[in-house]
Amino acid sequence: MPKSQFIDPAKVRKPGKLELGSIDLNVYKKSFAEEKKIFSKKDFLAIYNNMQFIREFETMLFSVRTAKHYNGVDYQYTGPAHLYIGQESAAVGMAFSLTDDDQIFGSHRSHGEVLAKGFNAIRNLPEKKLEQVMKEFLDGALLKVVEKQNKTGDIRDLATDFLLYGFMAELFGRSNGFTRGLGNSMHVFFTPFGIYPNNAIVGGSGGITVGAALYKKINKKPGIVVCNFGDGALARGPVWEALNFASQDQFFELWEKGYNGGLPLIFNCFNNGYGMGGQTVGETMAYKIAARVGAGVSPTNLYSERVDGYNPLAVIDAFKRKRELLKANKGPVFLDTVTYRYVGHSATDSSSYRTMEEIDAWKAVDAIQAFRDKLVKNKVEKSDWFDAENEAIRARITRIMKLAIDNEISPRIDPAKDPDAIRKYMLSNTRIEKRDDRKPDVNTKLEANSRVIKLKDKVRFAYDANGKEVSKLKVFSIRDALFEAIINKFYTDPTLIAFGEDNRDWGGAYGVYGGLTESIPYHRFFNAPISESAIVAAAVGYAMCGGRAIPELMYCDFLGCAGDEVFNQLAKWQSMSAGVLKMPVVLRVSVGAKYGAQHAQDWTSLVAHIPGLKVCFPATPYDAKGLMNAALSGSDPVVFFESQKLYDMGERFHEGGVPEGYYEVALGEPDVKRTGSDLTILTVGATLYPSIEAAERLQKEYNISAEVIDARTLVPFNYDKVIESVKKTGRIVLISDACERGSHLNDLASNITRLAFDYLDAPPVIVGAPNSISPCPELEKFYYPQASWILDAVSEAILPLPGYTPAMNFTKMEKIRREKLGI
Amino acid sequence: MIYDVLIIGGGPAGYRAAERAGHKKMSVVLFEERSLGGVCLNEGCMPTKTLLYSAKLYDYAKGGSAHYGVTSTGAKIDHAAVVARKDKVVKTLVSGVAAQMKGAKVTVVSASAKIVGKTANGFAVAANGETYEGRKLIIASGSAAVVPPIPGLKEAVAAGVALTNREILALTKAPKKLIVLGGGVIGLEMASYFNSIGSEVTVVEMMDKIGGPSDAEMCAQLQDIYTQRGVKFMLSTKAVGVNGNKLAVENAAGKSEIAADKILVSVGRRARTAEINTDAIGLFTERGAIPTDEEMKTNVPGVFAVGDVNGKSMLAHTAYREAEVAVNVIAGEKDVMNYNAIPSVIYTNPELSSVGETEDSAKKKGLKVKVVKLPLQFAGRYIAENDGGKGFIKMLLDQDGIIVGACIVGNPSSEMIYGMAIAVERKLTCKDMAKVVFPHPTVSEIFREAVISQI
Repeated sequence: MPKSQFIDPAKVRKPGKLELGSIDLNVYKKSFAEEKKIFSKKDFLAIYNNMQFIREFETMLFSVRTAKHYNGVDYQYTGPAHLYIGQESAAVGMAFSLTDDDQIFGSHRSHGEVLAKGFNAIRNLPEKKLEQVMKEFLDGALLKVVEKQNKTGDIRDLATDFLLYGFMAELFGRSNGFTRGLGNSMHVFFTPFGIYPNNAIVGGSGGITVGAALYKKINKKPGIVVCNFGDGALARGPVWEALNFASQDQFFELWEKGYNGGLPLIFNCFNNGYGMGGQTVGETMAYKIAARVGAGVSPTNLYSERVDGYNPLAVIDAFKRKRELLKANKGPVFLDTVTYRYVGHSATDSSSYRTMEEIDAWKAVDAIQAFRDKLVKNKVEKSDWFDAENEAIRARITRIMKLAIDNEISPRIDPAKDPDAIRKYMLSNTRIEKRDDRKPDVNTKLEANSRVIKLKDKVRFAYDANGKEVSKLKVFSIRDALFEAIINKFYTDPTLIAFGEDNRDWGGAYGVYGGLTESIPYHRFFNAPISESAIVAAAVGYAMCGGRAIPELMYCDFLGCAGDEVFNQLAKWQSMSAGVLKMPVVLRVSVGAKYGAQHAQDWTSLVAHIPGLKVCFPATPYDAKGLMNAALSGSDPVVFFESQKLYDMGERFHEGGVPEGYYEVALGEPDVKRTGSDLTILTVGATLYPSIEAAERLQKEYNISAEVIDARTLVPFNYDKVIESVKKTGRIVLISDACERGSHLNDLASNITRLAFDYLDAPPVIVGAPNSISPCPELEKFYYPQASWILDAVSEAILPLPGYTPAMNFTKMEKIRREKLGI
Repeated sequence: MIYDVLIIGGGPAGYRAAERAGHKKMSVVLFEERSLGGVCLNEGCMPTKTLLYSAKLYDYAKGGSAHYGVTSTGAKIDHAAVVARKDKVVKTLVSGVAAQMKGAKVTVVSASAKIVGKTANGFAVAANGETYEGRKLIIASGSAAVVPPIPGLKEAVAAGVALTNREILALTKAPKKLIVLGGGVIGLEMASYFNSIGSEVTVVEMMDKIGGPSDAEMCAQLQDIYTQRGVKFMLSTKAVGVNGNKLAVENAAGKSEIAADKILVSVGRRARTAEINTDAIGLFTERGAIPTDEEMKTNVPGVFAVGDVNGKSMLAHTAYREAEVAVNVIAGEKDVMNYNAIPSVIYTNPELSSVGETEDSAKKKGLKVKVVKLPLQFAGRYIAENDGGKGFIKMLLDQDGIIVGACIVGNPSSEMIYGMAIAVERKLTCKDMAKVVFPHPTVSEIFREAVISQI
């Protein structure tokens, strides 16, 4: 909400009519004579070759999936097969004119796009570069396999074998696959050829491509981004979020010179008429013509048009024209590329929802045959040539397939030999101080920032020399600590960007970013629409392309809105790429309080459950700054939880307060905040403070000495300190604001039981929020664990406190009763 | 004043808890609306044993001792006198309990008690128009006979035709014809008594065996013995109605009616929770009982439930142990209840005694057990005193050779079974047990025979 923009009541209330303009449908009309001026014979034949390659490749896959053999070779493929047969011309048209700087992203049905873009790269990349790619990838492992058989001496021919082999090995789950067989059919990609992740979540690439396009724009990288998806994906909320996120007014109206203008992004809908079996026109959608969607996003209608995907030349023409719009900073654009698939959605689909008549009608206008007929008719090549070409393609696919299914040449990765074979890719654990060496783009010197100046006067410890608590206005708080870490990184890593709802002028809903706007330009620090899914997905795309991002979710409760993006995208691309991609994203998530059932939940446990994410939840300024510094210097996605109860909190534990200089607190190391000998209390997040209070009461009233350990991080987690403590005390209470059922505390408790069973005098006891909604602020003392709850739990389940009357019920029978009721 | 412990119910669970707590110097109030001693002393274990002893003497006198060369003539049993003696025994026992309470400085309130609610320091219980406050509350309110919803049964109870254990023990005139509805422990013991003193007894049982969960083979032998003595058993038979003094039943053969002077309703017992206002403190109840954990804690912190009211075992000796556990836990001493080694006895003639697993229960749990079965004749004393007796022992060993259960049919197994209870509770193997020297000659030597057979 920049003040420079004025919402004028006279203007918005004025009567009138909105004219939507018009959207072109299948306007390509060039004659062959005109086409011949654009394409050489070589081009025409390459287009044919690429389409036929896709068809034969998919025919092979269909055959080994259903008939268990292909061209005389037996093989049983059991994985997914969402085939491209029928859609080849659309993919080749999409990819044919792309450059080496361009990136494509796709869906579960993207084999054709992978091959088309791969062939495009093999045609366009300099031979030296091609050779280098093949030699460097997996230390030349793939090259070694294919060069034994390919004696043509032609590097591009060899690269064709390389592409087919890497792809097939990936499909068949072999370690020579492009992602070591960990990606598989629905996620094949190979970034050196501009092929970026294909996504098995329908529409999953939507927001990611926005991030990729942002990366190009913000870091001034050449090329465009193509987001390929099916018409079924137009029903997905995240896709709509992505369309809007990519088209925001601020790019045109607020971003600075040099960064002003639209994103270099083509939303390309391969519209085959079906979302699985649901017919998008007439059944499951209302747009009738998918190209209409552009009109719902911006006054440019996203330059939307429908293209005949059954004519590869029409698609090439459209992509060339759209590229010009992107060059002129008018992106993003939208294409409705009409196509059709002959085979089912997957190998098990018997096409019960459509007629043979319909399939035959499309086969009658088959794009490959029609293109061949056109070339023969116009005497580009004779019919025999095409027969020979088809045979050569078939022979080559057979030859490469034999390599890819050979267990000696192409073994699978072996978790029996190396138990960490897959696990080792979950996190990259690499230190990356900055992702580029150029000078960071900032408005002022760091020292000139008004908040940086103000912080110099703040007291960096919570208590003064007399032990008196410093006032909230004067104390250096957690919000200051986070600011200090983040602004520092903005001045270190030129690729760092931060965005979220109300980040800029507002200063972030909780004031962490106050003062940042004056130092950091729009293109590095901007307000996002209320689109949690796109916020996280854009960060994922931005990071996988080479940048570092700090997206923010204003409330932890909104994690659900970005569920797929956090759980399937942010968490998985490092491992699904077998370590090729890095994901240095710090997702700031603010845990609410006082705002009721949908704004006050601690969902750390949900996130900790998903492999591939680091999870931390600091409770002190010292830890907040140190952990943020560490998170921002790593290579992994970190979900960084912050408690709204604690933004004001000063440093009460670390001797000497919060250092002004740079330091890191390693992720995964719990911290002893209070020493004791009779009882261990392990805390997560804000529950540190009631735990300290409980420890003091236990000491004073019952002479029980409690040690309080702040987990600080849930993933990773070093158990050493906790086990050491339990060996001393023999008793442990674990506490967090998360609902008790399924809380990560149960995981910690079960591991502690295993690791220190012989030292425990009583089972670990969990103190969490009840399995209920978080109520109004006046009732929060019955929801968030209080200091007294720890005493209640200790007295009931660990060590009866003489004369103590508990308020909360920790009896076993009550637990059983509640569990029986599901509460 | 605030008491340390309030105890509702003066049966075995309640009075044992009161006595233990008193000895631990806690201030205790015990509420009991009837006589101290509960069902056990007043209308259960003890009075039935009194009756059964008279019946046993009468059995011998009227011809049972002829095998041993002892005969008598003109033997008679005076049921009214038997009942009078029973009342005397009960009185002695009840006053014994009262003396115990005095010794333990327990305040006994002879009135029905109702839970009022929680207080700042614990709980409030009202009785006799007064409110008592205690830091801890032990609920030992016991159980009552279930009167199932059979059409006409309620009316028959009102008319005095149908009786529960309470009323039948007060009968001064033996019924000519008696129907025992429910062939469990109570039903069989009463059937045994009235059979001995000449009543025509029919046992109607819904299951396909008598004796509840006791070992099937043992129960079958008992059924044979009593069939020979004239008791009629109708198994797999459901009571469907009571009309006057006729019981309508239904089984595979169809519907029929049996006439009787009295009908004993002994189909089971229900926990007494409705009577004491458990809702006032949010006590969790399930099928009327108050579930407890192994420390006898209920779902309300500071409230314990012991004895029949928790629905776990419904035996006086279980109640004693549960009461001890509860008091120990209240005193801060670690203690837990173990139900694996609770002995149970049916005091028929011969007696049926069991502890731990049976073949059937082991099978249901999927435990692989070895069954060691020996006739009691292996113990010489048994032959000497049980002419023609067919008693046997079964001992169950788990895969590690640990004794996990035993049952004996034969006399005096009720006095012997604790030996096997020790083995089960302490998880002893045959090798462990074989080191124990048994007095000779005793029927107990059968244990030694059984364990030695496995070494």
